[in-house]
Amino acid sequence: MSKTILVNIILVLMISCAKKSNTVVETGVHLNNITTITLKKTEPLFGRFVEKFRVSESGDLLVFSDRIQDRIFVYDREGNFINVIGERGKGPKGLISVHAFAITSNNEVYVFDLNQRLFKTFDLNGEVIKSVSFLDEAPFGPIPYEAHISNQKIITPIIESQFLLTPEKSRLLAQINLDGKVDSVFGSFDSFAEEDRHYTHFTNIAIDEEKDVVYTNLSTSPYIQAFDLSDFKKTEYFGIVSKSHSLPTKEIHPTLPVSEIKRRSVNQTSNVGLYVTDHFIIQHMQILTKEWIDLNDYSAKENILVLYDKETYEFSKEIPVEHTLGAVKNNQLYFIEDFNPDNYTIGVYEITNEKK
Amino acid sequence: MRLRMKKSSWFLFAWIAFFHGCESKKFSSYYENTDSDWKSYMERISDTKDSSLKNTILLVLKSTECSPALGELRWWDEYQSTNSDLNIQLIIIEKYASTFQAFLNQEEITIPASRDSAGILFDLALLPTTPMKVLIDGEGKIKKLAAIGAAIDPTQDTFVGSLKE
Repeated sequence: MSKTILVNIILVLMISCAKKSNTVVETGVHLNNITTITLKKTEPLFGRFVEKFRVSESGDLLVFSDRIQDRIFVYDREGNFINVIGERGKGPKGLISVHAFAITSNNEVYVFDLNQRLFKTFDLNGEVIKSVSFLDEAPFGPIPYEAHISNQKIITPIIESQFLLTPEKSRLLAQINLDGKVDSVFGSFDSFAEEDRHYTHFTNIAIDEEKDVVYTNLSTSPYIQAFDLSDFKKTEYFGIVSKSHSLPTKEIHPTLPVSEIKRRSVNQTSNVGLYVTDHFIIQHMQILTKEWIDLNDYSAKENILVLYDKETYEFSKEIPVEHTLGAVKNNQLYFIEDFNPDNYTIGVYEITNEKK
Repeated sequence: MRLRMKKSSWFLFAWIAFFHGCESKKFSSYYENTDSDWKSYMERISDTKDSSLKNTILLVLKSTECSPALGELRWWDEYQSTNSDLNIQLIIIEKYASTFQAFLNQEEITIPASRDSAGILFDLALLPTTPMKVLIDGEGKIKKLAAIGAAIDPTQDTFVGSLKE
């Protein structure tokens, strides 16, 4: 009897320890810390970086969008400040509303300013290389921070203007040339949206350049769609309802009192990112908390990674992690370990799979 | 029509819907708070002591509010520079001091500002959400509560005017 109790205590301790560490999470899949980056304080101060950031092809540069100042901050891998890109306003370098940003393989920084409908290309010195009118007449709006660049094309989830209040009826994705010409609007919303009791719908995407495939995942859906970028046709629809996935039992509608919307949203899950590595498709899921809703405190949300095998699309693992996943590049996962601008810290982890 | 389609658009939609409808009914419990409740709250989040909140407008926001709310905040900042008889105070709900400071720098706000780093406002049930403004009259009663940046209250003069009612 006492042995049973002891075993139970050890099991409980092991489980709780595993949840607090990003290191070894489950048999077969490991996250190994390879470096930690603390951003050095800058002048001007940055205010609040959007959770998702970009990493250059070489992994040497980290690019962040400051939600408060609508400017782009660039740091190197040692945390040294490189530059701030963009100025407030409508001048040549001016930015009003950073809606999407990226860093290219030759270290040019792309910024889409939705307010000005301009797509600006900057060098790392902050000089404007190019500025083109972008999506000025497009009958859709792109989902923020989800524009990805692949083969000199921008792929972004969208909502068509006519379906703003019924987004589940909208087409899902757009492929746009860097000169602003829309190549194709394609795909449809995950049918899961129709049975969803939540009124918010945004879509995360990830591009597998090797396969020329874009994966999409609705914020509320456990399922993932795949579209072939050569013909824009849907090729796969896969996923499982993993154990942490949780949706409201009662409908959340915008006409409800805010207090009730808050109450019904607490402990619900939301998918906030989708990533691809050599072996996995990674769904980043967060559990909403009262602290997050009240304070907009990014660190107050719980984080879970749901892994699918990239070849077979079979569910692989669900991994609770302590920190927010901000980027994935070259099989390395970048977790934001401290959001405080005075000590902004990123842990870089390598994901390995012993079975491979 | 140009659409500013941020993820927060849906929350904005909810927020607008919330502020339509029967305002007094939605806010009724919050009108029961007094200047004393707000004063003790202000003392918890800042160094201000013994300052009266009578005839005061409190602007309560987060550092991540959307453009309409920030536009109205700038209007109040301009307004207080030419109306020194009115006490206007800003409360920002923000965990980090540097983010708070960056916000004030960015918006070039001169209204006296305090930071609620832990969302005490919600624990005390002083307001249901943000961004909101609170008008406290000369007797210390909540005279008016309204959203900041909401379409239903396009002119802040209406809000200030209610002081004279």
